Amino acid sequence: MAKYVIKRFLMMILVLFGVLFVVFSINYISPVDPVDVIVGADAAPEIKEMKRQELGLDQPYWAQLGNYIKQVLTGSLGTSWNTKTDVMNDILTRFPTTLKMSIMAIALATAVGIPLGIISAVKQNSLLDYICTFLALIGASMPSFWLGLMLIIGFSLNLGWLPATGVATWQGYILPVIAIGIYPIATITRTTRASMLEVIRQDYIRTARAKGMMEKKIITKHALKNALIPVITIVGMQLGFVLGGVMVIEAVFNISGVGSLLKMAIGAKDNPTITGCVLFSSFAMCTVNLLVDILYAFIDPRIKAQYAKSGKKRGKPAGQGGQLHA
Amino acid sequence: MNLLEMKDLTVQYETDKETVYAVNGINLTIKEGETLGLVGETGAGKTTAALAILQLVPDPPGKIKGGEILFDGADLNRASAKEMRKIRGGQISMIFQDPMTALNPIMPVGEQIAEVIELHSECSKAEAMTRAMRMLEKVGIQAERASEYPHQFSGGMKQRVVIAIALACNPRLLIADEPTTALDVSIQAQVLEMMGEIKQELNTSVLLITHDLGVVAEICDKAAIMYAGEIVEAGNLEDIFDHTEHPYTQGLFDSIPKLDVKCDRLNPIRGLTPNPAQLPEGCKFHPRCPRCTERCKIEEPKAVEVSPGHLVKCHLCGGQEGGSYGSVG
Repeated sequence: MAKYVIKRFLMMILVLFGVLFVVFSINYISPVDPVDVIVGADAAPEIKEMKRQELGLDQPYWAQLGNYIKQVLTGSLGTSWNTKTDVMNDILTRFPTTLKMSIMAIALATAVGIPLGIISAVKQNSLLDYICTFLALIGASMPSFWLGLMLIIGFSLNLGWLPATGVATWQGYILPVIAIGIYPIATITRTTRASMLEVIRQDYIRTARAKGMMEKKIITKHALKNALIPVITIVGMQLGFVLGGVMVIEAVFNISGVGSLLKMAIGAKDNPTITGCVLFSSFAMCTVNLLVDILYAFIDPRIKAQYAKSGKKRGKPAGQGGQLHA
Repeated sequence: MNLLEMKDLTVQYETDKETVYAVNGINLTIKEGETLGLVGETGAGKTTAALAILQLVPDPPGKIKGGEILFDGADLNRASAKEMRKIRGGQISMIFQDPMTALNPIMPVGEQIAEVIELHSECSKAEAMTRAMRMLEKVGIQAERASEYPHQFSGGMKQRVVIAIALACNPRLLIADEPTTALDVSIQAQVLEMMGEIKQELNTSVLLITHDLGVVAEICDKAAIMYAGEIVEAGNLEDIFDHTEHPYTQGLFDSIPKLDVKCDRLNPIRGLTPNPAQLPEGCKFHPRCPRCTERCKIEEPKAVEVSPGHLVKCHLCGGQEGGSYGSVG
């Protein structure tokens, strides 16, 4: 198990280098000259040249990439061209807000989506099921920025119940969390329903019924745990997406998080901040995925056995108990 | 005293497109301590009949349309959900066909056995576990393996675990639905032998569903041959094996390859089992029957007792028209 985690961790580093390479290159080949953005397109050529040298942009591509990697390896994401602040520091001061919102949104999505999915599956083809499925469809099709704006109009402007911008108070979190959470709610509902429907047709559920168990207990004790395995994947993926993708919502609600930092950096052609934010989001996504994979092992003993096997050869092959006697 | 008595049991699967006539008015009785073999081809309705006893026919689309299932005199078709829960696993339990999928993959096997004990006897979790471990030993698995998961066992051992679950509460009736079909031949013998021993020890009645006549000859007291949702012939082993009456039963015996006769081709019953959504008129077997008459095509035969306890559903048997079809040695 430990070996598996270490292996995955090393792979994660490779992935992050891939991301770094791609983002850095895209920034490099982007037709907009950052110097134009920083000092103004109509600045004197000497000033532009000075700036270019200062930022090291006069060097060839490989040298720039090499310098950046060197920097990252020493634990720094560089200095923002725009604000002259340390990028890592910028991200870390804003990340708690983003993380808090993401976790709240996913917690909401899990708390609502899983029960809805279970009800839908257990009462398949009932009115309740149709309602849940319909709501999930709407939730999955609604753009979150539009929902965010509608929520602001409804609850902030018209009703005046909740603040429209910022997260200075806890009330500020409510609307953005709903706006972010609606898509994960829909996805988790749909996945739970599908997975549950498959599981309740399994033979072992019939075995549980033949034991004389209460239907409710069959669902919670036998069906749910089996059905949750694919749901966990989806929850993890959604958390990853949300962590990296709250940019729009942060902009809509004017919240100072990693997303809005990235949005600002793109507008200012602030390459170190852009690359830094993307790298950081990738790191968050990879970490979540790794945690999800580790979580599997605690739920499904078959997966745990696989992890153990990939780490070292087991003395006794699984499935062949070995001691068959008449 | 009959422990189980099925009277005119009818089960159908209804979908928007069609109605599947799975079980069409079958009668069966099992006495205390008796083993009845229910034999038939795939799709004859054996499993549906068994699930009906436990009221576990998947609904929708399955519905018990009529008849009675008397267990100890009480009709299970009228039992409440609560009463049925007490009977399932406690009084009547079932061994399912495929041990590979019958166990919950993410629960230790010991816990799966203990679960049924906890449900049906007033005992603590710890005591249920101790008894579960004793059950495991009884079916030939070391008690220490109780904490292992199904994927750590072979098919034969999984079936032993399933059997342990079924027998954990000393049921009065055990329904075994093709308990050995999914297993290797060598393991089949072990499992059958073990079931026999435990049955003897606990004096359990058994309804053994199988398509293997050899298994019936080995461990059953009585046999019933099922075809297209009906029981076409029923009797004790001697009736069925030595005084075969129904052409279908005869066909089953003829299709078993013989060791002492060299032949190039096997001798199956011609044709296919009818689609249970569109059963033929008259005798259900008539399109495949080598001795089919005009009467067979129109009129459905009634079950006739050709000798005490030996029931046959055929126009040609038991003096209905022309007496015995013949017997096999």
